Amino acid sequence: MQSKEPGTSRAAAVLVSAPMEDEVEDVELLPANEATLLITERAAEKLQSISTAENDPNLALRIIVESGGCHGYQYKLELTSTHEVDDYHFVHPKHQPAAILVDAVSLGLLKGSTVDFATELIGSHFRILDNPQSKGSGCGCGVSWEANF
Amino acid sequence: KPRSRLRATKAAMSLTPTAVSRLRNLLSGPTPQYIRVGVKNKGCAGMSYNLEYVDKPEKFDEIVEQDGVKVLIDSKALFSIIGSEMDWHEDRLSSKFVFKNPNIKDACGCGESFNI
Repeated sequence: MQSKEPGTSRAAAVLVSAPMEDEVEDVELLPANEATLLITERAAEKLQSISTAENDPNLALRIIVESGGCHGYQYKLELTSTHEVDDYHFVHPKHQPAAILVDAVSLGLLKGSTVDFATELIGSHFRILDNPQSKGSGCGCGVSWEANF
Repeated sequence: KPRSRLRATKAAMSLTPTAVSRLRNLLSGPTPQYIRVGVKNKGCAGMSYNLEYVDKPEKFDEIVEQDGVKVLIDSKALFSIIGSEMDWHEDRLSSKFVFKNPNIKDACGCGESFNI
């Protein structure tokens, strides 16, 4: 990725809360040092501006990894204001509120990825970059990908 | 006697009102510019749309004018785009141009990539 583009500098997201062992069943929780995500500045700024525009300080971007799409797994992104018990809650270290929620199962497939907001002439959207769990180029749209295990 | 020129009676591509107003915003900069629609060979279904700013039309580019907004179609992409409708979609998470293309045989689930 071109680092000269404004807003593309990545920051390690701060983990605000993680699910407790006794709160969730049937899910193996990640060790704290593996529960990581990166956020680019422009992704955090966009979340901030959505949150301000909708006057909802609890607004968060939820990232779900589900099976489907042409390469096995796909990302699903949505906006939500409700936190679930099995959510990992990340925020950008500087820009707030810019919250990201990932459930325990999805985070296992997402850890170490970068959340970005791409602005192009054809449109703008949130996207997931450099997922260490993915291999190959995945689908051209960047939504669907193949796991490397 | 001047030679008669062949003129298309129907635009090569139509624009929805939201696409027109978005394009008007994009083109309202201080320097005159055009937006050119083309296709690239990428994506899992073979092709995907590409938009770019250009200073002036290429020799064979098709110019689509609707409601005072001009868009260029790359001559190489005309065959795959002709008859399409260009629309602008905005929701809380994303905003993008989408194309309703009658020539499509096969498309990727994400709607970004297609095949003719």
